[in-house]
Amino acid sequence: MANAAAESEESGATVVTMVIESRSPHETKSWGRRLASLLEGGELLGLIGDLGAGKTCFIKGLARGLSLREEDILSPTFTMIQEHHGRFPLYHIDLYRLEEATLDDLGLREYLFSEGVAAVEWFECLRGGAEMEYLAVRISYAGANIRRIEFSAADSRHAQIISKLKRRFA
Amino acid sequence: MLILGIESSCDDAAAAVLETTAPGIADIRSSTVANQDDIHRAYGGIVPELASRSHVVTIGPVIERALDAAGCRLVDIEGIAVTRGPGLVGSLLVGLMFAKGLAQASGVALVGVNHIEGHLLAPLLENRIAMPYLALVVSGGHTALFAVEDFGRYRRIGRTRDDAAGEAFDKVAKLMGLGYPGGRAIDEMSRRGNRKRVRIPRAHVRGAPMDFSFSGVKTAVATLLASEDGRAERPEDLAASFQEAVVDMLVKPAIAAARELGADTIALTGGVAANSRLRDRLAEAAAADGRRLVAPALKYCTDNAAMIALAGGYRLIRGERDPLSIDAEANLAL
Repeated sequence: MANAAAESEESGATVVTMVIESRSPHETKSWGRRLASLLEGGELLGLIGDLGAGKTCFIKGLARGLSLREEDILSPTFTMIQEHHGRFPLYHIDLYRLEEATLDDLGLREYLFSEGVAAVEWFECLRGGAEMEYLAVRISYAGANIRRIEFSAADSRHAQIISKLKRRFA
Repeated sequence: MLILGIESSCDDAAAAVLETTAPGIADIRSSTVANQDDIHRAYGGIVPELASRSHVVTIGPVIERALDAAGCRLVDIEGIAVTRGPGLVGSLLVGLMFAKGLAQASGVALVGVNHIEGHLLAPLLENRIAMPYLALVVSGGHTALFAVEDFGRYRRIGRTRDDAAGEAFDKVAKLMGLGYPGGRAIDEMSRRGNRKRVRIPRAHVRGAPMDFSFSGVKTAVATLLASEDGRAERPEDLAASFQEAVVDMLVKPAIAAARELGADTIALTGGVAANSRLRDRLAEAAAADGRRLVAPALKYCTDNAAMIALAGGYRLIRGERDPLSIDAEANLAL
């Protein structure tokens, strides 16, 4: 694991991945909280997963880890962007209704490259998103209450966070 | 006082002319809406850029139509009420800027209105209701219970912890391949379905009996549709069972809140108030509890400018006005 992190620092192109299985919404939230404990501000999290996979659920946990109240995290589908101010700003963004978004929609650039943490649901709807430096959180169904959560990143900064997540919690 | 209301917070651009004599007492002279469903249907959702561009084109004609229908001209207008949030910033700005321009040119007072306050007061457009009353606001973006204690005094006593009820309708409709907007399709399909056929678990927020959670029902339908058994169900039965679950989860907290508040009237407002099953069930439950349900006509439940004129009207007749520097706020709090 330490090797994987080191490798990515040198080449900057190695993808670091970690896969876990969550057996409840509670567990999905725990992983959000764990990830939050490793964030320093300025990270971009791209959440990818079908309707009902647990993206907002994960972000509720993430919010708790940033000293925010879980109940203040609502689905941002309608408002598209919700700002919260905890340990640092959390920009909770939802591109569901956009089908295909560009960085200029909704002034996204401002949120995605900020001092805070940007957590973007339906990240796959962002045109050019895949080429950006971000930490992908892919959540998929693996049974009625079971979800497969895959963390991955290709840039060294986000890859290091995943390496730490593995070391501390895997 | 003759008031022009302007609303453009989401995908509808609307204008209305109201004659108001006292807070909450108004004669609706006209109310017009330019709806963008056709534009957005092609995309399966709202596209902010399209919404604001379309508003730019329609806002002027919509206002003209409202003035024409009211039989008056711009010079007759004595105050302007415009939505300044919450909503999509690009959309809000179109209405707000237009309103500011009109106010500047004509010299009449302008007030910025919170869209939710508009929904809370909408039941007063056609009814006399004693305050306090309980308002259940259910739309694509909001699901909340408010105590309407007085004009300008609202207390939220319950809200959704995750998805809005209308959002659950739209997302489930999308999962079922019913298109956008999906609420109406589910309502219609449900009439031919068996409400008890498919088991959909009702969610309760522990320790908060007046809060809502709709994320679970959406997930339940998604999980069901991912299974062989689920796909074997008739879509009509699935729609009816899902709808019944959502209605159950709305009715119970609403009645509990009305009891706690001691409110004789429950007002149902917001786009989901168009749902026929919700109207019927809530009316029955209210009557059984010795209360009455007031649900505005559908055109005043969905986004409209008459409610904005009413919500701005009580401030305008008191002589209040906002500076022309007011800004649109996507997450404006009530």
